Amino acid sequence: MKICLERFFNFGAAVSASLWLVFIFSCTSPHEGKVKITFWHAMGGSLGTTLDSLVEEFNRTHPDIYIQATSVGNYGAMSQKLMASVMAQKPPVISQVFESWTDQFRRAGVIVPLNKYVHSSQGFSPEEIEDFFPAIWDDNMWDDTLWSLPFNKSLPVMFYNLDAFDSLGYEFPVYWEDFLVICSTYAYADPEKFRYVMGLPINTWMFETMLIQLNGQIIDPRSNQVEFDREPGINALNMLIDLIEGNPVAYLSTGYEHQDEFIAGRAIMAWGSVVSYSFMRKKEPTFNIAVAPLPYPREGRPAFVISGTNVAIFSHSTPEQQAAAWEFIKWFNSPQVQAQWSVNTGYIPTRRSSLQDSALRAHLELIPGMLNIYLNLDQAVSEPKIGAWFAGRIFLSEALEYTLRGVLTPQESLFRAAQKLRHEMRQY
Amino acid sequence: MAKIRTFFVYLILSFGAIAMMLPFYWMLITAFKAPAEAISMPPTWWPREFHWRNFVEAWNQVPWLRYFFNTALIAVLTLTGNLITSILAAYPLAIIKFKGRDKIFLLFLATMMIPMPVYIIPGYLILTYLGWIDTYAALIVPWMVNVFSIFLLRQHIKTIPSELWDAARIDGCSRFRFLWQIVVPLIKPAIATIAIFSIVSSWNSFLWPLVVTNSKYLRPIQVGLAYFTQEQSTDYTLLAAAATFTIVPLIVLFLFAQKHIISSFSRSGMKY
Repeated sequence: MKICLERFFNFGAAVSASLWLVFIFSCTSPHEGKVKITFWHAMGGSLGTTLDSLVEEFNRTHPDIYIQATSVGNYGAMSQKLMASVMAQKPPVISQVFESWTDQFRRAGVIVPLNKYVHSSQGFSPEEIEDFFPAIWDDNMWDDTLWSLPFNKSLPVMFYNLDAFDSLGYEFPVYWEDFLVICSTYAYADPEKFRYVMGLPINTWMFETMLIQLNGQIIDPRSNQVEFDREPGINALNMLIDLIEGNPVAYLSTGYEHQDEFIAGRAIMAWGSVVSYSFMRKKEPTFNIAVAPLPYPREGRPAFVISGTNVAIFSHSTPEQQAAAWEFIKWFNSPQVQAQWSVNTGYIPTRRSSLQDSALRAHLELIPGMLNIYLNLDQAVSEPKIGAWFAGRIFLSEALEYTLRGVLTPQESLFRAAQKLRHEMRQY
Repeated sequence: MAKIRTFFVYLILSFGAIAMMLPFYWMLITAFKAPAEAISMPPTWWPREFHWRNFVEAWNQVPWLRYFFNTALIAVLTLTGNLITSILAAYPLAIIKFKGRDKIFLLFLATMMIPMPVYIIPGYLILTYLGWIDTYAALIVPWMVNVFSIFLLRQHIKTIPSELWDAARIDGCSRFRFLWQIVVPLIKPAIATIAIFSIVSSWNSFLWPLVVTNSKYLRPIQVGLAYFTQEQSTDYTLLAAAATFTIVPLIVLFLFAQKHIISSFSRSGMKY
């Protein structure tokens, strides 16, 4: 019995010691006298490190404001955390938000319209607003109201093995038809060296870009009608099928396998986000990488679908916090900071004048083809910004999977996805 | 004939062992490779050159000591609470006869069908009302009750002959004493199983800590590992290096506990 009691007390002592440690480590030092802004983001790894250094710079140069940046890991966790915190009426002061989230939050009245800031003396002049790339600015506007400011924006591009192209004397094609001819050439040029021309991940982004290039629309912004199951969408999906079946130059890949195959020198090109370049360089490829816009059909038009998030201010914060938050997101969208952000992360700058920054210019000139991408950012097009699109993207992804794996025809799968999206849109 | 049989038994076991060990081996050699070698094809089964620097880089990029401390603390306190609540819940559900016992048990079991994303938002709301968001309590207390543990212990306790309780009662033993001095020693294998499940689950927790904490000083190991997987890329070599040193404590724990687990199992085999 004595031993039993002794063990009990030892155990109790261990638990109490642990609880004390919990208490001690729970104590944090407040930033007294400053307007504190909590900022939730999903930037991890080197992207997070760059963001932290920019936040540190802002905190240093703005002694009255303290931005507390918190990484929430990834967009999935952030979606759950934001929804939960809004329901608990304890959201952060600012957060990264996709356009579809912004639409839900503005309808729920939990984010602040930014017109009173943007048109004030602390806002942007008409020239400065004009300086933003139109698609990037429009992503934040609903009718005449600004609800957020841009944060991290990227574009889909093609990466290719410059040395392989140079050895055959080719330039990366502008048109889809020439692209197919070159792909066919490479498919049989050196099968020992290159196992594939390219890997094709099942990804809505590439499909959306091809759809726009074919003069189609995902959703008509005026009539709010789902459009991706019409002829241009079916044609875009048929073009993807052609890559893996009719004119077999690509294989279906998963995750970032297609980029790894490219870096390992087993594929000649890879589709990806413009941000992927810096990550691919880190894997030390033995050849020069070049970048080009996605080729478009001769009867179509050049276009990119822009992707990424913006930053919104939540209305649960105080007016002082909202004003300080505006100051931060405005600072973040200044040409100099955008140039710095772009150099260190690969995200595209939000403003045209950032392209005049010497450091960004020098950085872009080192990457064959990259400057050309940046100089054509006016061709960028936005994704739909309705609340239902968050689910719509998932429906579209399922449709691509069904078709590219041979389960349904393009008509069947796109119609099914469109119907599901129409049903989802009726919920809003 | 017996020799052939033994040979095939060992052959099958060897395949099983290789299948279990291969992912660990792959992780270990990837941790030493250069980034380009990690994705080369055909894959290399031994690093061309040992890049010890991967471990240094992986270690320096994340506050691992803090994350180890957090994870160990969460694992120990969660396990303690889990065992106390599970034993106290499983005993009456298995032994004591009372009205609605089976219905309560079924209700408990039904909660196992609810996937985590469904209860993240209600869980967050409860923690907000308690003022526990961004505290260790949010990481520990909700996991101190585990229905699977209750289920497992109940099934074990049900196998204990009722004559044992009758004999103890004749000797003047209280319910509580019977539970701690007779039942608990008899269900040690189940407790060992729960301990392993609970610790591994705490070690692997990722989404919940991200949602209920804001401070990076409260985050566990898995969040640290996620640092190497970011938008548009995964840093395989650094991730493998970090995964290697983060599983070391678990392996050490298993090596120490292995003897106790096996002895608990063999002892229980003799008793039942």
